[in-house]
Order: sequence, then structure tokens, then C-alpha cells
Amino acid sequence: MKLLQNELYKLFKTKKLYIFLLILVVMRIMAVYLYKAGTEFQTVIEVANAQSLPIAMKYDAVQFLVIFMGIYIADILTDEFKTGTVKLTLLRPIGRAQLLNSKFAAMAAFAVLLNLFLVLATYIVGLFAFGWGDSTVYHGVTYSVGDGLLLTAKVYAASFLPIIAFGMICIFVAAASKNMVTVVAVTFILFIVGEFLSALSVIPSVIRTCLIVNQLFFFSDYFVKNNHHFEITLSVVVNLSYITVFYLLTLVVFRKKDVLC
Amino acid sequence: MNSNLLLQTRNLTKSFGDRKIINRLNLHVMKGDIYGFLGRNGQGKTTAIRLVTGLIFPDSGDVIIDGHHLRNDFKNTISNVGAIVESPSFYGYLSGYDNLKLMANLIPGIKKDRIDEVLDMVRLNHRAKDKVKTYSLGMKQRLGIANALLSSPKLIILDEPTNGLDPQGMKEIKEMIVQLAAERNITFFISSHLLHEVEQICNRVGIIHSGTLLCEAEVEELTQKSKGKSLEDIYFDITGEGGDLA
Ligand SMILES: Nc1ncnc2c1ncn2[C@@H]1O[C@H](COP(=O)(O)OP(=O)(O)O)[C@@H](O)[C@H]1O
Ligand SMILES: [Mg+2]
Repeated sequence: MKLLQNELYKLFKTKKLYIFLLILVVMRIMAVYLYKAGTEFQTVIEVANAQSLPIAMKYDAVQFLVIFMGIYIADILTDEFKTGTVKLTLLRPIGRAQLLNSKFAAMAAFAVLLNLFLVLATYIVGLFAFGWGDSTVYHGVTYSVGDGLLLTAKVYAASFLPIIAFGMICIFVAAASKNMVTVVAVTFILFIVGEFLSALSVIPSVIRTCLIVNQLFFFSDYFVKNNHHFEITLSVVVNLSYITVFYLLTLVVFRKKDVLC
Repeated sequence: MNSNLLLQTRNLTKSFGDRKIINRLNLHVMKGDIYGFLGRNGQGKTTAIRLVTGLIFPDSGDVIIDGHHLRNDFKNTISNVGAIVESPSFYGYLSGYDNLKLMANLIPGIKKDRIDEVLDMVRLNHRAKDKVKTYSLGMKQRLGIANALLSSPKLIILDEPTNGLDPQGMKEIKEMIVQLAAERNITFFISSHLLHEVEQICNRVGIIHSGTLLCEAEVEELTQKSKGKSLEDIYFDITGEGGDLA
């Protein structure tokens, strides 16, 4: 717990966090501006009102979130091992597993923070651009304000599971590699390759469903309609497996890791 | 078993690849020592310190600090130790005080004013609120010592604490070590390649060469035996190297 507190304290003291948040806001403003400028045929915005905006744009930021996660994880793992600040913690009565747990928790907290911020920022940008609106519209279905809010909350909450699974994979890459650029590059390449594979129709769809990229994009979709019990169960199992397997792999690396900074 | 023994290594051995960097190292640091761990660059001092502090793992051998075995009782062992390994690393975007605050969070039962106390001991109060990235090397070194002091450990390990400092900075650090040892009852284990430096403040030395401990003795005993030769000359006698490095 104290370790997580320390991680969060450091996070809020770094400029990077605020740059990330700024980028997210700017992206939202740009999307809305483009829509208003008459390129609506290319956008995901179905109905121009604030309450429909976050759920309509939920995939828009996935690439950015993924890159920010990669950078943050590289910062708290690879960079600390490189610059030697990890020694500060490791020379205290702190076990290696405890250190890993705190990094995992920090990653999850970072993901929650970014997503919450993104939803709020999107509502606010939408409010300024279009006003609140009478009802939420998503995939052609109209929801009451209350149901719309609930659906938005459900979809974003569900998206955490694959995001955290992805973060765990990043943590493994970061623990196993020696410099930050590698981490960000490897995670990004994984992401691109995954996107490519998930579009290949020769691969059976069940296997494609299991790709982390697919999970990042589509897991939360299963919660919009009610008849996806199989996909939801499969996806939960897949994501939890990613988390478990990569956690254990990282733990093995971590336990034996020579700290040579 | 000597109850005065604070730090002991038993046949500590470590290889990188197929190069043996530390070879059956047996160190004995007594309570109250200012122990000088001497050797030229690249002889294995930092590697030995990494092993002693659990940052890396030995191929074989043991580290025992105040009766605790590092191998199976890491937390209790390390609780008795404060250390700077290789160089003092801190979060540059935080102040010296905030860096110590983060560390204090990890020490159970620490008193609230302990941070001010240790900053006082290393005479860094006046710059404590400034970001560490604005600190000189000497100040970072002192902040490192403050961090090492934080948990009131019995043993403080410093890796080349005067390396890279100007003569004034070196003098300050040395005075600080002597004072802390005397007033706070702290045992020091200090590595250095500056032999005459260590001679002035250490009571015991161990000389490491190519990963092997060639000699471990009281400084007084050494200089008496060799009829007043300087530690530097003794070093070259022991390692079999000419005094002239050219
Ligand atoms: N990570 C490493 N991989 C391979 N060799 C290393 C590594 N770290 C140190 N060494 C080698 O070990 C030897 C001892 O290094 P070190 O302990 O840093 O010496 P010292 O601190 O006495 O200057 C050197 O020859 C160095 O090249
Ligand atoms: Mg060294």
C-alpha cells in the first residue's frame, strides 16, 4: 500500500501525466471540430449531443491509451532499473514480489485515471460543442438519459479488464528489457501485429477473439447487447489468463533479476 | 562465532558469463569499524557490495549481517543496513526532502521528524526543498548518506563516497563519516580506490584484487608490520604490482 502511494505521488509530480491528459482533451476537441466542419461521414458520432459522445468515441482513444500505458510502464520499470532509482526501494525491507505488485497496482490506477478523465473530458467537450441532448443514441438504439449514463459506465468499466491485461503484458516486456524505447516499440508492434491478425479472416474467429487487441477493442461491446454470454465468458477467461500468465512470468524474471544500476 | 561480528561473507562467489568477478570472498566487519574496502577500479568492489545488499544474487556463498542470513531473511537483514551502491540515484524531479519522504514511507515505525534529523546530520537542510536535479554531486552524495541514515541502521555501506568530489567535498564527507561513527555508533563499510584517503579514517581494511580478498587487517597492525610504510606501498607489495602504474 505504501509502495502504491509512492508510485501515485511520483505520477502526479511528473509532467508527463499532464501532457497525456492534455493530448486526450485536444483529441476530443479535434474530433468534435472535424464533425462540425462537415466531415461527419467519417466520424463515429451518430447524434451530436454530449451524453452520446463518450460511448460513441470509446475506441477512438485506444491507440493513445495503449501508447501512454507503454510509456508509463517503461518509466516506472525500465527507467527505474536504468537510472538506479529502483535501488532506493530495493535497499529497504521490500520483497521483489511486493515491488512487482505495487507496479501492477500503479499501472491499473493509471489506466483507471486516464479512462475516467477521458470520459469526463468527452462529456465536457460535448457539452460545450453540442449541449447535453435529450437521449443517448448508440448503434441506432435510443436510450433514456439514465440508461445512457449506465451503458456508458458499463462499457468503460468493462474496458478496464483488457486494458489491464495489456498493461500486464507491457510490464513483462518492461521487466525483461533494458531500455525504454524497446518497451514502447515492442508493445506498439505487438499492438499493430495484433490489429493485423485480428483482421485476417483465415484465422478462426474464436482465436481472433482471444487476441489482446481484439479484447481491447471489442470486449466492452459485448455488454451493450444482452445475448453475448458466451463471448463475455470466453473473454473474461482470456483476459484473466493473460494477466495470470504474464504476472507469473514477470515474477520469475523479477525474483532473479540482477540489479546492475 | 564472534559476537562483535556485524557483517560477514562466507565464500561469496559471483560470475558474469564465464568470468568470475568475485571469488570466495570472506569479509569480516566488526561492530564499530570504519572498514575500508580497497581495490583499484574494476577489481570487484561494487559487485561485492551489490551481493552484500541483495541487489544481485551469488552463485554460491552467504552474507550474514548482525546474525541474519541475507539469503533467507532478506527483510530483517536489510533493515540493519543503509547503503549507497555505485552512485546515489534519486528522483530528480522531486526535492531532496520529498525523496526522503517517499523512503520514510517504507520504514515501519519511523518518527515524523527523522527526515529533518538526517538532513541536519548531513547539513543539507538549506537545500532540502530544492529539486534534486539542481544538486551537485557532493550534495547528492550527502543526500545518499541521509537516506542511508533514515532507518537508524547499524551498518552503513558507502561505495566510493568521495569519488568525483572536489577536495573540500571529500574532506566534508570524511569528517561526516568519522563524526557519525563516533557519535551515533554506526559501523561503516566504505569502498575506495583512493588508498591514502581511507588510511586517514579507517581502522580496518580489506584489499580486493581480481575478485579475491588478498588481505584483511587492522590498519595499525599493517603499518607496524611493514615499519611505517604507507598503505599505498603496502597495497602494491600485497598485490604484487609495481608502485609505478605507468
Ligand atoms: N554486468 C556486468 N557484466 C559483466 N561484467 C561486469 C558487470 N558488472 C561489472 N563487471 C565486471 O566486473 C568487474 C568488477 O567490476 P566492479 O565490481 O564494478 O569493480 P569496482 O567497483 O571495484 O570498480 C569489472 O571487470 C567489470 O568489467
Ligand atoms: Mg565501483
